[in-house]
Amino acid sequence: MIARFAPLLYAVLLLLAVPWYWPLESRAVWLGVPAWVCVAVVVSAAASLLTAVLMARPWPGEHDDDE
Amino acid sequence: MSDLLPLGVGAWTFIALYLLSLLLIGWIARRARQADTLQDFYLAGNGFGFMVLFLTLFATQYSGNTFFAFTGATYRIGYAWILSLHFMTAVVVAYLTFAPRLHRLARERHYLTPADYIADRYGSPLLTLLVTTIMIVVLCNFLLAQLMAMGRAMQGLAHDAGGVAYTGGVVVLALIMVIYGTLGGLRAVAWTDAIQGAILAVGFAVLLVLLIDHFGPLGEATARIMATDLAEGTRKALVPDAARCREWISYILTVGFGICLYPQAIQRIYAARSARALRRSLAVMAFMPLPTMLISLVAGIMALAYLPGLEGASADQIFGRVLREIQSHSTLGYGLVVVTLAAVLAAMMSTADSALLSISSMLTKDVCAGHLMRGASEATLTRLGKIASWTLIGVLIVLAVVLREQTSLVRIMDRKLDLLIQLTPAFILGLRWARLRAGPVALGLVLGVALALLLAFLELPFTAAGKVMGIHPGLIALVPNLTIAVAGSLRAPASRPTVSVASR
Repeated sequence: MIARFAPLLYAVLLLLAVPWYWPLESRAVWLGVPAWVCVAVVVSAAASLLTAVLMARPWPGEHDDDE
Repeated sequence: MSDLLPLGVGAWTFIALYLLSLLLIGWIARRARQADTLQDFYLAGNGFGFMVLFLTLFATQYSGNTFFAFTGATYRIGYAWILSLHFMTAVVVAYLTFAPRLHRLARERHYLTPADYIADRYGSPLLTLLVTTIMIVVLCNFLLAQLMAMGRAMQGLAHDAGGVAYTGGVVVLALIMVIYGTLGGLRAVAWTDAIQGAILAVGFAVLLVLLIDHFGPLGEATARIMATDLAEGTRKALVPDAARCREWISYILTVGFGICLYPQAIQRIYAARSARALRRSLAVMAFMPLPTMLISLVAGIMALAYLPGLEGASADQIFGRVLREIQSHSTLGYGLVVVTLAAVLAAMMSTADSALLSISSMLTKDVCAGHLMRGASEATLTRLGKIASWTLIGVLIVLAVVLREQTSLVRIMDRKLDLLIQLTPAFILGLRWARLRAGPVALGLVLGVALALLLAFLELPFTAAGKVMGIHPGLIALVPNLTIAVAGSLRAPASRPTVSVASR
């Protein structure tokens, strides 16, 4: 299920990763760093998590492999 | 690293022991070889399990750049370099688009080099030759840059303003690399990568502790940079403007698809013992940008806040300044800096040795066995591969010494990702679309490479710093490249490709 929507999910994450939607005058600071940086880190962590989830599923023909 | 305080006998002994351990690993790897074949020498008999595969992927992907150039980039542009976190994650995402199919094909059809897949998939000697040539040119440039970085690192460590330490560093480190590489092939390279990857991980952790301990909380550094932004009109902590955002997207796509097509990266896909080992390694790799990139970002931010003053290219020296600050702080700081320096050397060597072995494999298998010495035995070709490594490293050592002052020349040559990304249709699309044909792919590749180089080097009204409105020339050139490959294949009569990849 998640594999089917993976391209869409990555596209959404790419849109969120780039801070084009933040007001240029924003000076918000979260956890000691600019807020837009915090969001970028969270989005990147989400992309890592999604990738790891996709990697957790066996690939086609994997049962042929000997581990 | 010329800003560092002189290293003592203990530090040099530590570094020397580390280098000697690499030779020992090379010797052990030689004893572990199972056959005198190219497959055993260049792919370690396709026997890498999860941990070795993960560490060799990690050590190969994160080079000296991670410490020097990335810290320097943060120092120059501020928090906007958080984009490095995205593009290093994009590399692993890009693997997802082709690694599963390529690994399976490689296992079934015993691929050794990236060109083996191209020859098998398209059956075109011309396209195979084009791909091999591009990969060898890119990797030679990459290896030369790594050797020069090693020389400069040793020059900085030895506090030698002349060229003796530089030349000595290039020669000694390159010789150590080629010795363990030719002793044990990919097995030696991957095992040393495992050691180097572990040192690298420790180095990053140590660096974070040192930075926080020495400079204080990150929030104070952020407040300082933001105050400077408001006073001087810069945007080093403030939200990036539209031009910077365009640059982000360009970096994410170019680096993501460029790095995953490095020949040594493709050969690690081949070398995995199983699909399970490969996907588990890549799953862990997906999280590695978080600690590594964030720590180099923190180093750059601390330097920007507390060690201002370096401009332009000299900003790349900021990592040395940061280490000096920490080094002079305490004995513990000094010791931890030595560990970090060993990690820097490890990062450079682990990236360079993989490139060297990959070039050697392509020269031996694709050029010699494919064209010049058809019918030669595996043992003869393996021996030839070792000679190729020694010859190549000899030539590159001479170039690294001769071009020592020509850093701008090396920068000009450094368009590797703009070239590598032109291989996307041949590899990634070729694995997913059975109708893709060799002729259009070759034509698109030639035009893509030509356009990327023209846009990068010609000073046109719409280009600045080798980019078009912040977009990498390689990414722009990929559009006509891909269009020609797809449109040409659609117009060609439908027939089965040499390898039925789309159904796999």
